[in-house]
Amino acid sequence: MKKEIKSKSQFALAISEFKRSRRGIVCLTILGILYFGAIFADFIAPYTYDSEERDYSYASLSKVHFVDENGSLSWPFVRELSFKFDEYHKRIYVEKKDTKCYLRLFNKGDEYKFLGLLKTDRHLFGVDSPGRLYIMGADVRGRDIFSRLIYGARISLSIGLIGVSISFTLGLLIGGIAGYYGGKIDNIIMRLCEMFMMVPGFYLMLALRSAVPDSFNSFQVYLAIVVILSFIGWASLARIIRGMSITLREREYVLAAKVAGVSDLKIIIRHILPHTVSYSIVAIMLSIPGYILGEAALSLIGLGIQDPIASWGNMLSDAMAIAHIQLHPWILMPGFMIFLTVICFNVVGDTLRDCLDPLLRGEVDGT
Amino acid sequence: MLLEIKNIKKSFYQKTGVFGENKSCVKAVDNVDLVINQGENIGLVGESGCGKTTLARIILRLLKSDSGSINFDGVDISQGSFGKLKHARRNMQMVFQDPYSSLDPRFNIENVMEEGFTLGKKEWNTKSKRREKIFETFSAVNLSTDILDRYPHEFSGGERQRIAIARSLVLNPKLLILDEAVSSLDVIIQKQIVELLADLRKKYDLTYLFISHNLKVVQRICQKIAVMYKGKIVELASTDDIFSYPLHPYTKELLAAAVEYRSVKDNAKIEFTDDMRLIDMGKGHFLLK
Repeated sequence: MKKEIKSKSQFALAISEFKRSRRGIVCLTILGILYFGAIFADFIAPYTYDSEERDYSYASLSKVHFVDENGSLSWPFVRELSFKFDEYHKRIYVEKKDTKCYLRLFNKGDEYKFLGLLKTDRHLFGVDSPGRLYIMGADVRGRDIFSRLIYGARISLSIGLIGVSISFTLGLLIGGIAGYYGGKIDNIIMRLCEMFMMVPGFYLMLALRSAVPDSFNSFQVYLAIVVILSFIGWASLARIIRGMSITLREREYVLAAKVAGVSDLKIIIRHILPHTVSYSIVAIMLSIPGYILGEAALSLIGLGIQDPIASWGNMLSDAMAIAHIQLHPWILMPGFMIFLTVICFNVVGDTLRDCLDPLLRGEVDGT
Repeated sequence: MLLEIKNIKKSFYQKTGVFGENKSCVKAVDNVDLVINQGENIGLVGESGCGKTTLARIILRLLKSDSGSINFDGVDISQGSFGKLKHARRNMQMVFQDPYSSLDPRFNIENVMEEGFTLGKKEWNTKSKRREKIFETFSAVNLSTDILDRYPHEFSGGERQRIAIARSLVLNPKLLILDEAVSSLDVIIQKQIVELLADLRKKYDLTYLFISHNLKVVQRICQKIAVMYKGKIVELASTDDIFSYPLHPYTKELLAAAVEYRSVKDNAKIEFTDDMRLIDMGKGHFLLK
């Protein structure tokens, strides 16, 4: 009996290695959930990002009742709130005893376009109006922080991916070209890289941001920020890729490809860059948090995504006053989300590095 | 005349000192002339670092020579852009020393073989045509045809070298440069590959430039042997003559070393002067004098 042995590329081996790491899988799952939430944000979030109710400013987490006034079990509901001021002019919310707003799955709420195509007003869950459901409390204008977090994930999580893909394409190609050709080309490109790396990242970011016109709408600002962030990231990668391609270009399979008549660009793309992939995948994973934090930092100081569009950074700008944090601690939620995402990306990157390590070693030693 | 190289020189410079103010120069290939006729295999032997590989790379234009001319099949290939020399390049292929690094570990065998067709894409324009040619070449080098989707790390050294040979043969080249092609294999596999090369030569009408430090291997398939030392060809003669009447002291040393399995003695007494030329000592036996 002949046993069929399926050929596995080295990369497939690394993936099966990854599956064995519990830490990595857990973090990858969390990231998966976050991205899934971001994609289906309008459906999952009970409210849209700009749905506000001033009477519920800084309302705390909604109390969901399972038992009605007669003491019998009931379908979960929330009560409407009214408020009065205490001696420090802080709002005190009190439930209106006679109101009952039932929790519903697939209820009707704010209108939106599902995935930008289908016009609908169904949400995954919500409560009957006029009650409002705040899973994570409300912000100053009575907008649901949970909903805004999910909407904000769209911006905060996508900026990392898009930024990384732009800067890595740049970094890989430029570094590959510099290392492969060497000589003058290498010299010029590397001096350029050093110029970028010389300027502290945050100041470069601010300087570039100030070059963006004020008249841009929020989508244009978003694109501008992506470009700014990726503009800062490519140089350090290009340097490392250049170093790797200097050793890789002396490999016999590169010479063999040259003899076979393969063009230089094709050699760089097919024979040199793929061999840096075990390094660059790890580098990508470990640098995504930088982009997320970069966007958050810009938005936090009001230079990034503008209200009412939600991003984790500009949601946090509410939390810059210590009094707010003390009185309404739930406005720190975006900070927790950033923390969670950054940790997850780092752990996944770390695990990937461990899995790809045999390859990494193989490529440096030349086996 | 398939290949004629004249006065090939190549020096490597090394900067030393804090600011690179001192340049030291290594003459890797120094004024080499060589003629290869169609069907006449030439073995290029010499110790490591004598410039054999550099010479091969210059012939293939992987390196640019400092001076001299290379004439392949009636075309001067030492000048002009690399891209214009398609004809010469597809007729001149190379097999590398180390079969573990001459195949890209991320390419499966099909991709490896497809790459061999790069310069002949016009002629081999369909996948089925190429597939047919690949299978034909595989059977010529004794490889089974069901390996196309496997990766290099799944093969033994001998098999890999056969794959590398197959890759270099798909475009039916006239000249095959074998750069220490069997040196990294064990003795039994070495013999197999050498036998295979002897067969392939008849089948595809190939000419070999066989670079090796091992005289025994060269003896089996080469009609002529050129002995290289410190960047110069010191002796060039038919294989029989080299083995029976070696003239140059270095050749004698090399032969003795191969037979007695000892290292080549320090040849400090062999010195070169600028006016030394290869001189015919009779019956096409050339000696550097």
